[in-house]
Amino acid sequence: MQNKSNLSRREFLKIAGAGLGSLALTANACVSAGASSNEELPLEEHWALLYDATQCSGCRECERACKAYNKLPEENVDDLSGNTFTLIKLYQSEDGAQKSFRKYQCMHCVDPACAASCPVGALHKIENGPVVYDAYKCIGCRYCMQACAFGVPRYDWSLAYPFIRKCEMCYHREAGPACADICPKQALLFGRRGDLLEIAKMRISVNPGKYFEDRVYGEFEGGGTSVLILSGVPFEAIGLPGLDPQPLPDRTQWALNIVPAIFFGVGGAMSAVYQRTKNKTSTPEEEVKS
Amino acid sequence: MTSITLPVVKKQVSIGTLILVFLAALGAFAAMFRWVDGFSHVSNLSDSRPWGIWISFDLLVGVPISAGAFVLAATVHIFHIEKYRPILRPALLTGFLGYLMVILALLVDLGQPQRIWHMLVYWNLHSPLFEVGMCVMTYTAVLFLEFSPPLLEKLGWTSLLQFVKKISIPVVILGVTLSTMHQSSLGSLFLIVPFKMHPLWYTSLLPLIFLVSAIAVGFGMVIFECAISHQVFGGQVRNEIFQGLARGMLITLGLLLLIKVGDLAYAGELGLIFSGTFQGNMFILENLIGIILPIAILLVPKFRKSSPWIFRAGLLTLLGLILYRLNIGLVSMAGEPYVPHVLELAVTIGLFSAGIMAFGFAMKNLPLEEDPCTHVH
Repeated sequence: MQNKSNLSRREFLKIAGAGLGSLALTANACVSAGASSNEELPLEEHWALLYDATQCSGCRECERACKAYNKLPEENVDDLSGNTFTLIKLYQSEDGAQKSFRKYQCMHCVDPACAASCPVGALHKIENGPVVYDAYKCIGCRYCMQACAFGVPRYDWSLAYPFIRKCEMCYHREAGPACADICPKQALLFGRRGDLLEIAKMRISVNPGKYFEDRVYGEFEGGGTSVLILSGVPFEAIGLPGLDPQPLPDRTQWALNIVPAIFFGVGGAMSAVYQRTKNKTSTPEEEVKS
Repeated sequence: MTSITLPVVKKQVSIGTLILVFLAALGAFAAMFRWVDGFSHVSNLSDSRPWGIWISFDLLVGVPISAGAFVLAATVHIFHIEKYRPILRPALLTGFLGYLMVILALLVDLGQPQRIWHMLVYWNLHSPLFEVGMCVMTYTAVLFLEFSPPLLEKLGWTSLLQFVKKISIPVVILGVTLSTMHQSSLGSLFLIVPFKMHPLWYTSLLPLIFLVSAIAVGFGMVIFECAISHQVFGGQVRNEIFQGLARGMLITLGLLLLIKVGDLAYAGELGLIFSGTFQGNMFILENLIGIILPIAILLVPKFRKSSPWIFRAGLLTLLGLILYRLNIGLVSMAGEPYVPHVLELAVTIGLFSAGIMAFGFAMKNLPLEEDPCTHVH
């Protein structure tokens, strides 16, 4: 236990450092936003969250902080919704022997399927990691809801002209996500993705056998996510889908890559056929001169 | 200037028309309800079922049943197979109306329908839906151009007609190209949901299967509308045309069967077909009705020459395609159980009825039956 509190302190220092770093980083992003889009931040530097389900006490302070910051009305729901961007759920095995909390929210994928699928680019990943939403572009087609493997984007179906609603990692908030700020435990940490991965792996190595498969969910799943999860119970048991390391957008990208070839190939082939068959028929192509 | 005989406008209205008007009005009412009141009271859509019957039927079926237009335009204008010319215009009309219906349905389905034009402005080249949207919109314009000659003839706008005819070949080629692109990318829409879609339907070949099934039903639809319109509007079904269309459909269906079975065999998932699950049975139904039965019919030499049997095969192909697309949109997808709301269905049925009425109106009032160069007055 002595060991553990030491670790916590070290973690805290790291996080503080990371927090400061991200502050500088946001400022930097603002400056360079218009200048060049080529300067992509390395993945390790991205904003990220580490949720350690074994540390979560289910106090739901994070939910309240999220509601307060995003000015969302209180509601009684058991799932994410148009007015609930994050939610703590309790999972219990049937005999009650195993239980675990799970924090639901946008996973901020490294290569987000929602952003790839959005026909108008309303959803996109900003330079420092958060997957954000430009409501003014959205046409409400709901392809993002279909494409998201985590079922995150939500809709307010009672409205006639609804928008997509989801967690944006409080990307406008200088101190980072409100939920991580408030967490009284070591359950939710905010920092750079590289640092958080390191912390997560340290927790695993210090507590062998404590964490499911001794690995971090989100390091590789679906090409990686910026929300990393440690769990004491199987990931599937707390509703985390098993995903290939191949990013989901790769599945469509090849089909889109061959579109120019189809355009010129089919166009060219049709022109060639037209030329070849033109003289074979007796009927003149000139239409009626009325 | 050729004089065009104006059809006699019948004053009496048939029961069929009255039913269609009623259904269309009901659909319009449901659509109004959605635009004013929101989705909750009109649809059973939910966060885990964001796409319902409007996407699965109006879009996923509406687009391929309009494929007859590009299949026939290519056959006549590009492959120069002249015998199909008499049925080209009705096919182009069906295609154009079909795409209008698709766009109208999207205006009901989209959360922000007033922004449908955003797809033309905010491009996301990584999105198959962007490609679909772009192609559907440009192709609707192309179809309007392809279909416009009878309208311009009727209006007597000769110089514009001459211009449209002058650019007709590039326009047809563009139409075939755009069709190839979006008929297939309609299938690409689902490549990104391997985690949601049943393995019987999920395959990397979805775009190819969508394209080939669209071509097959393109033939099927032309057979169907040809027979129907000749029954309703008079005229004679040309056996030769019918047999040619049937051959095209048979070849395409054979190819489709080969791709589907081969793909499942390659993935080692043939066993799933006979798993006895709801999905497995729906898969059997879809392929039995839409592929195996029409192929079996058309393989019998006697039936291959018989117009009624060709019509039946075409009808089966059409039903099978509808099943396939509904299976893709609804049956294959994981999520909460979804049954379309009555008013959701009302929109779909209403739009369909409006389309049939528009088709009937155009068939009566525009010189569609024959191309003017063979038209005898």
